[in-house]
Amino acid sequence: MAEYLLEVRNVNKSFGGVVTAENVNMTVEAGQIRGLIGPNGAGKTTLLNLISGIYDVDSGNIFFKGQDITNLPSHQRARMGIGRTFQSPRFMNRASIEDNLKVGIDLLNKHSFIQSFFGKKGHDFLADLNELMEIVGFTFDWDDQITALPYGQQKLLEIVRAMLAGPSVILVDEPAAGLNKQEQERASALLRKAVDSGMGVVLIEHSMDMVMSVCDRITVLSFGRVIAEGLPYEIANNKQVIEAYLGGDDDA
Amino acid sequence: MNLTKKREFNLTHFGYLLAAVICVLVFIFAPQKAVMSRYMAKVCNEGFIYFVAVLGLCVMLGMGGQVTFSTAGMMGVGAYTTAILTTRFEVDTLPAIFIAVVMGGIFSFVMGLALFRLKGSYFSFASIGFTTLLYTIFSNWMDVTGGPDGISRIPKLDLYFFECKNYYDYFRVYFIVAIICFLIVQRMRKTSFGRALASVRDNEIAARSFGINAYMTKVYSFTIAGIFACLSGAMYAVHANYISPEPFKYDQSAIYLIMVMLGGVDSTFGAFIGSMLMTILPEKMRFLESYYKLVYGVGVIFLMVFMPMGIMGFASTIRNKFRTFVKRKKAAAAGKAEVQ
Amino acid sequence: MYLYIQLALTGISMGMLYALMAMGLILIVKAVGVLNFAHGQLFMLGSYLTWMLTYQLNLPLWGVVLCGIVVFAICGAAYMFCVYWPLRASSWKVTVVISTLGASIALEELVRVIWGSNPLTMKPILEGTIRIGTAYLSYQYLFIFLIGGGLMAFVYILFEKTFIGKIMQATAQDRYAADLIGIPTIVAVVCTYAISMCLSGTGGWLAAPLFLVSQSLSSFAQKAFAGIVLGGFGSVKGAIVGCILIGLIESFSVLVTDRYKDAIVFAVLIIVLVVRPTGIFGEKIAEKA
Repeated sequence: MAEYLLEVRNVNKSFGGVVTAENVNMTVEAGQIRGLIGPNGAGKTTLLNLISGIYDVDSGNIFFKGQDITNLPSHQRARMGIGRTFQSPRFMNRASIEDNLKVGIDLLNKHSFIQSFFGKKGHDFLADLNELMEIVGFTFDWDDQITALPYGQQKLLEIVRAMLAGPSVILVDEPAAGLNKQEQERASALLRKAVDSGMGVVLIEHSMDMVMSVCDRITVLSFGRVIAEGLPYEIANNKQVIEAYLGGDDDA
Repeated sequence: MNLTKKREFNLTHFGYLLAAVICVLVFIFAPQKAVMSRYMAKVCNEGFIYFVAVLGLCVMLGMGGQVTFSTAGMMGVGAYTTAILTTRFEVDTLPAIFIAVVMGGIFSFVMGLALFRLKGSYFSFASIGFTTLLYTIFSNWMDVTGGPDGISRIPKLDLYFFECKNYYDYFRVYFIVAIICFLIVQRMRKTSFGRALASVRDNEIAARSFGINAYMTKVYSFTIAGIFACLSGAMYAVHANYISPEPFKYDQSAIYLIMVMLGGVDSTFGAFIGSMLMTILPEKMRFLESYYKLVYGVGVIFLMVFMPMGIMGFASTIRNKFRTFVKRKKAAAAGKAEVQ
Repeated sequence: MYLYIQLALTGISMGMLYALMAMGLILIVKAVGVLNFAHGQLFMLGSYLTWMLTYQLNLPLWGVVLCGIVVFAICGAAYMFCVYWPLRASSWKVTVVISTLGASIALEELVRVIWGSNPLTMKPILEGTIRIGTAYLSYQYLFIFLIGGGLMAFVYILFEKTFIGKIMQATAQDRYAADLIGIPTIVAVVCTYAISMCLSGTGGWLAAPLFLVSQSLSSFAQKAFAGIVLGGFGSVKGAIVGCILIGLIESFSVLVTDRYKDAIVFAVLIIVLVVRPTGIFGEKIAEKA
């Protein structure tokens, strides 16, 4: 099954009695954006957390580049190339923007403490960063506190940071929530850029515009189960999906 | 959108230059009878000793966000190892300090592995237990530590090329040690390790998603803090030439925590200000007599209410306000120019 | 044999004293999410205050008990307003921790300024000892056992089983919940601190006849911390059991060594942590992601 970059196979997870993932299957190929949609509480974020290793699965397997990563701790999965962002941006709030971005670079460099202490040269990320900042369309001061940025820019910058680390797959959790129209388009452009450079993307999003326009394939979750999978137009016309999701949710 | 590396000479660099000049001047002129009394030199030396220990907390608390009470205990480990090696086995002071620091590093690494299986407040509780355990050993193991009487006649510091004969000599040596340790920590802030610690502090889950092993990062920070504390303890032993268990009690750890908070947790220089202030102030506030500690305790509460990030934190808040003010002015001016 | 019974009884009684403190600590942690490092000083303050009521105001026993509760509650509330309330909005919890450290220094000195640094003696509630075979045990231990146990059971039921207790916890934790129910957060927080102080203060009162009224009583808190860690994460039940275990370990360690009592307690603690980091009763708490 080496053709898939990331494969989730028969994964189950429950918290107490609440089932948040039941026999979930999902695949991501390189250069593909996999949309992950479903009503609130469907278990989308839980699935991301299972993939990135923040939760352990109850049963089932997760494969990454053909390797079983089910039992690896989350930091090792990140080092193998699974990047992610969070629903609300998670930065080091007391640190400068420079330090926050460099956490991503550190993951790329994989320098030991000693090497870093004596200033070993790492990847020159400035060209990459400038290219990405061109897409997001704003600029910043290295020394500014991260909290000085507006919310929308923080969210975009979090995706930039994840991409700087050079992952093979990035898991993006609701990038458009709380963003204005222009910023949403920029987020889409960022994701397309990621795909162009060969990454796979898992995208959780409530904004149907964005999902339908950028995703290559879509998986629909409802109460922890996959109820549909397919191309965007198939999903848009799927009765079951409309019932479970579009019918019951104001977002539609 | 043209982000470049920060290379140009700016105000911060000027600050460094000024600091270097001041350091050289202090090194040359301060340790003399005309400038400071012998007693003052002794107090300053103690300030440097505490500063080295507090640097460990700067790493643990400021960078890593872990409240630890292990500092005094680890200082005790350093002090007793040095004292025992020099008095019992007649090792020279310099190699004794070296051995003490290495042993302390290994010891704190192992203890860190155990203690960091706990998180947050529970780690703090356990670190209290750790310090109390060490204190009990120091004050009861008569054959080795001398019990409550402690160990006396610890030889003076001998660097082979320079022998410390009086407090002024110690001032010179400790001043340089303090500067070196300061630079190490300052450098650490800008390394991948420093950033890893900061991200563990602010958001452990996000840290893990960036390939940071949160547990080991915390253990390393505990080890580094342990090494600094051991060095500080060893410096204490050869400076005072006598040690007893009292300075290595749990209460003292609380004082180190307050030192680092007073100066400002996010700043290495803050740690220096904090430890010097807390060492020199008691000497200058003798007039308060028995009320001193009361004032001091209440002062700590007021400090936390009005300056939670300490003196340096307060300064940097003002600086940031100023920066945004200047930026707004610039943006407004640019806007006007466009309109015209 | 009788020796073991005696050791067990003293151990449990000592554990009760630690548990009184631990319970108050956990209540505060649950309510406002921060540790109170001045808890040992509150314990000590309790013993001084009851000493004042008994010997300086010459109140009879029932008077001491009644006034004691009122005074403790007031002290708890005052403590809260000085140490926690100004910092409640602080984004960084460590500031509150440091402020309690400052309070611990201030309280210790306050007590010394008022009552001097010489230890004071306090008569036990009932003098004399009971005989268990060949061993003797002073009545005070039994009082600790009874009063401490009763008080803890009362608070436990109040917080964990009754509706009022649950509301109180909810409102202290969550301003939104507080608004829904209509109880201001401040009332819940004040009550928590007052009850917490009552528990520690009573502990101080019970411990005073056995250990003299002195500033060194505050070091009892370290055992309470140890008990909480040993018992497990943040559960009141775990903390009580943990503290009693600490008391037992401490009292039985006399059989092996006299000097290393404390060392054995904390060594056991660290060993338990290595084997079972969540403590005896702790469960793995799912992290909020």
